[in-house]
Parts: sequence; structure tokens; C-alpha cells
Amino acid sequence: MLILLCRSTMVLKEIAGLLTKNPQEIKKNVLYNLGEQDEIEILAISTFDDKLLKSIIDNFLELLGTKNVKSVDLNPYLKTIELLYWWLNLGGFRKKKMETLMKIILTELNDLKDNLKENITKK
Amino acid sequence: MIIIYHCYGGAHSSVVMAAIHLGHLPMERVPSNSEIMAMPLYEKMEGEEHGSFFYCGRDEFGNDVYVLGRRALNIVVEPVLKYLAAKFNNEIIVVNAVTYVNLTMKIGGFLSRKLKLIFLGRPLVLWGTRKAYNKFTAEIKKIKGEFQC
Repeated sequence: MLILLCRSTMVLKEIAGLLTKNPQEIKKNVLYNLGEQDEIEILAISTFDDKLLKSIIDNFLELLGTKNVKSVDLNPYLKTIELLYWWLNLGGFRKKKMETLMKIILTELNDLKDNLKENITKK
Repeated sequence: MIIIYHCYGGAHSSVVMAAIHLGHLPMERVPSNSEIMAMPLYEKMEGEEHGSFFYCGRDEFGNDVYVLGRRALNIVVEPVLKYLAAKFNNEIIVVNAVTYVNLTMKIGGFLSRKLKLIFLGRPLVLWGTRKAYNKFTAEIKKIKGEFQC
């Protein structure tokens, strides 16, 4: 499972549109299920304090003893002022930023896939 | 099952509720200030510890009780934890302890934890805790009642 954290629902919805055809809203404006990519479920959470939420999620997953779950905080790649650029789409900003974000997401997805494969071969 | 009591700082209401749940504080009477202060986590959690789950113990039904300081993420924490727990086949109860907190506790907690004015905040938060104590016990009775059925 890959968990994406981002303070903007606007950006998350755009990412959802690229990753899946049918994103499910589990909790309005908070929690979205973006479906599966190569058998890895993708969740998206919109919140303002992502650093804290990331540590809550990581600690909780540790408590549950689950592996093969990764949480990615997208906010360091998306400054507050950039949300305005995104909204206005100045100079095709949205497309450029989306490429950066998708690269990060796909890298994390590939990492997870590799981990899964490693775990299967170990078994 | 996992039971998580969460509040803004994880220093007052959630700690008291977890202590009542585990029988460290009495259910049938309001404890004294010294009894409340004797709780190891009461008035202890610092800002950098927010987001960590503090294990408080196991109750008589075999549930593990935790305390969490989650700052203002009250709307987000519950659905996320519940979803993840269900996903990985774990049963969980998430209790927002702030629901039962009064204004005195809020002001006292802010003065003591945020502004570090302990001499001013601590008596206030203790007074508020004792005032809200029956609300805490009523909720815990309700939670425990579900296990007794």
C-alpha cells in the first residue's frame, strides 16, 4: 500500500485522475482510495499538517506490525505559493509540477514492488 | 483489540481516560490532585513526542490501551486509523478525549504545555480535570459495557 499525503485536495484529485479512473472518497475531503497499481493499493490523504500525520501513520503501521506500506509526504515538493500557481496554471505550471510529482510517486511504487518481490522470494 | 485515546497534546484528557480505563484512576469517585499527578504521563508529553503512540497497558478484556497526542488532526486521525486497522485485520476503538474536555482544562493545558506557565496552568488543568471527571468515567463505562455484552 502506498499512502500519499498532500495538503491540497485540488492536487490530489488531479493525481487521482492520472492514476485511476474511479477514485473513491472514503471520508469527504480527507481520505481517498485511488485504486490499485500493479496490485499496490494507493491511498491519498489531504491534511494541513502532513509531517505529523506521516509520523502518526508510520508509528501506527509499526504498531500493527505491517510491512510493505509506505507513506509519502508530497508537501516538500509543493510549496504553498505553488498552489496558487497550480490554481492559475501559470506557464503550464500544473503539467510541469504533475510530472515531478508523478515521478516521485512512481519511484515509490517501484520501490514497494521491489520490496514485495524480495519478500516473496525470501518466503 | 487496540484502544486509542487521543487529544491535542496527549498530556491531560487522553491520559486520564486511559488511566481510568486501566483502573489506575478510580471509576466511582473523583480522584485527588495528587492521585492525578501521580499518573506517569500526566502533564508530561512534549511537542516533539506528538504523533507517537504511548502504550499504557492491557485492560481486563485483553485490549491494549494507547495514548496519542495528535494536535489539531482530530478530523483526519480517526478515519485514517480506522481504515488502516480494518485493512490489516485489526480491531480498533479510537476515542477523541477532547469531546469531554471543558474550557478550564483547555486554558490550563495551553498555559502549562504551550506557554510553559506551569505554576498557572497546572492548577487550572487539574481543577478542570476533576470537574470533567464524571464525563470521562461515563464514556469509559460505555466503552467497557460493549465488551461485557
